[in-house]
Amino acid sequence: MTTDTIPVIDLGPYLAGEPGAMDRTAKELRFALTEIGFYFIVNHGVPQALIDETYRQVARFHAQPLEKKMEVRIDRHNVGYLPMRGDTLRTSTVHAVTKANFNEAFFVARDLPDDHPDVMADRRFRGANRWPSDLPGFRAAIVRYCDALEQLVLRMIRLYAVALDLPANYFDMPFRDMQYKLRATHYPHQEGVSNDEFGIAPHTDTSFLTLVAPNPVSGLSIRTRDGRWIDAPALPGAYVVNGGQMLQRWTNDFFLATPHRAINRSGGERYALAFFCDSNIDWPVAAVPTTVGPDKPPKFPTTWYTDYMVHYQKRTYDLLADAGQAAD
Amino acid sequence: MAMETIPVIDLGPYLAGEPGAMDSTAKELRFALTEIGFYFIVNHGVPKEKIQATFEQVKRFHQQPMEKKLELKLDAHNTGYLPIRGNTLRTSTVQTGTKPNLNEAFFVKREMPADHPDVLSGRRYRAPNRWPENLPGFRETVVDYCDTMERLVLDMVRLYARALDLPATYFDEPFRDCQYSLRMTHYPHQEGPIEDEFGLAPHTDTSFLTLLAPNDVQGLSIRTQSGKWIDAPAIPDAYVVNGGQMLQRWTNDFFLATPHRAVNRSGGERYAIPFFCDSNIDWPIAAVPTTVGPDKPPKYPTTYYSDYMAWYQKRNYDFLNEQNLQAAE
Repeated sequence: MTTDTIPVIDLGPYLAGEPGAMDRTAKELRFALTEIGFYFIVNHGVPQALIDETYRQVARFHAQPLEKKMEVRIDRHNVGYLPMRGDTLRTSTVHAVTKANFNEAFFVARDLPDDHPDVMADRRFRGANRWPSDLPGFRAAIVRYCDALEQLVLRMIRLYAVALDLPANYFDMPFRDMQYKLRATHYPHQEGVSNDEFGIAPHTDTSFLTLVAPNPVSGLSIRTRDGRWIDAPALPGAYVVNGGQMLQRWTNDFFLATPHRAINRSGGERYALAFFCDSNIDWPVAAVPTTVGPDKPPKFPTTWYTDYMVHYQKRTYDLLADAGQAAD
Repeated sequence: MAMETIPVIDLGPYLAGEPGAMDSTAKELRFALTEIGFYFIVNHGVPKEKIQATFEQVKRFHQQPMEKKLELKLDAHNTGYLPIRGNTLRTSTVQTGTKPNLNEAFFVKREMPADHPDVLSGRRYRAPNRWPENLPGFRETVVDYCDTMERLVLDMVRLYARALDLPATYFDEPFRDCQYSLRMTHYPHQEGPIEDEFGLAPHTDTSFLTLLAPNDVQGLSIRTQSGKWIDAPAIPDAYVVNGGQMLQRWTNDFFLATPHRAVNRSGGERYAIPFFCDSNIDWPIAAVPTTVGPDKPPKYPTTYYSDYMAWYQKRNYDFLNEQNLQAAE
């Protein structure tokens, strides 16, 4: 059976600690992730004011002149500014050979302190963020938003554990210092019908978990298991959540990584806040015990965030490839 | 290559937090567990007096009259007193058809508070311990010893993680509420040739990790990879450590569970206090990510402590089967 609607999961009772709510909510999550791979969450506890303020800051960022934005252009840690048409989704198994994506984006990772050993060692994907120099308040607001989302993810992974018949704290340690990335995207209005140009071309995410902030301007479509594209409705206050390739690996394909795409035909500007989340950088990514056995071997070799992302980023980000050897 | 000597691992530098010590010690551990499956640890931080005090209490316990000991006879949780010849190792893949074991033992597990949900619900393997009434100080000493062992295990599991190329914290959460069992064994002196009667017949442990306290009286032998039986030497103050069937499952047979046996020919009494340790009762036991892959599927189905131990206990404990069969299921 496939479902053609994106389920809505109410996190309220679970977050409030109501008895039985964890197991009940986990059951809904399991259904969502095995049947469609996308779900909405409501009563998630992220204040609307915080979301609004984050959008405001992102619009401020993108309103800067291009040369200001290029000062913080994306680096080998995948943080900073990615200009319009800076990436092409060559790794996509969903839609071959599309044009470069019609969006610009600013990427932020966990805001590591300058004296963090990983920053000092310039460890890949653990570098310092690249902040714009002339936007007072921008950094603080973005970090506040990331902190709030991280707290939410720490609560949600317990539902993922229970949904997989694992002890509730199964993912606590693997996600204690989770790798995350906020992609603050600007999709200009897009005219005309083209089947190979998208705001973001059809793709699956790499993440364990992606949280897309409630958006008054719709634009997201997802492909159901029977191959049809459906538009995600705009549900006020609701986050859209989905899994990606890492979730498939963690669950031996038990949970879905559903293809999706974005096009802005709203007539105005569209901004999107996608928060991609993975486990600690050093945690091995492999099928959890309830999804494997002697008769059901792991489909994927054990991998690590860094190895996986190096491969992915090299294939996807033209700009970085042009910039030269720094990418490896 | 088969190892014919049991390696000695110095935990001192690692426990002191010396730079690089964790990884160098983990390398020794990996060697020990892939080549012979047994190792000694020295500078483990367990005070000698604690070990001696525990041996004293164990001796006191077994010196009680039989009827006192039988008041605490072994129950479905595998805690309490197991009389001499109370178990036969039928699950052993090492040597079959042995006689019941010539030892008596008293078992305790983690001391659970009376209001713990698992105690209240009567959950198997999570019951309160059964303590002798007339041995003041016994309980305190034994609980203190278990606490000390548990802390040592929590340090050691980080070495196991590194030895398996996993993040050091990999086993922290699975062992946060580790299931453990202290077996306080009395081996009377045994005459005659070894054929099919042992203090403890050849077997592998079920545990992830077994810590056997330093012992003045020898009696332990282990079977090396080449099939030879060697006697474990008595190294002053050194614990003997080995893995069992759960460790094989956690590591997809990368680490060994080495067969061993015990016979007491010292001419006097022998006491032994192995501490068997496993992960939290609800943690799934399956091959860790660095030991499996598409071309190397898990050899064992994912299992859980309760299921595994219920099977094991039913097979091996005659005493329980005769007297307490219903309770055991």
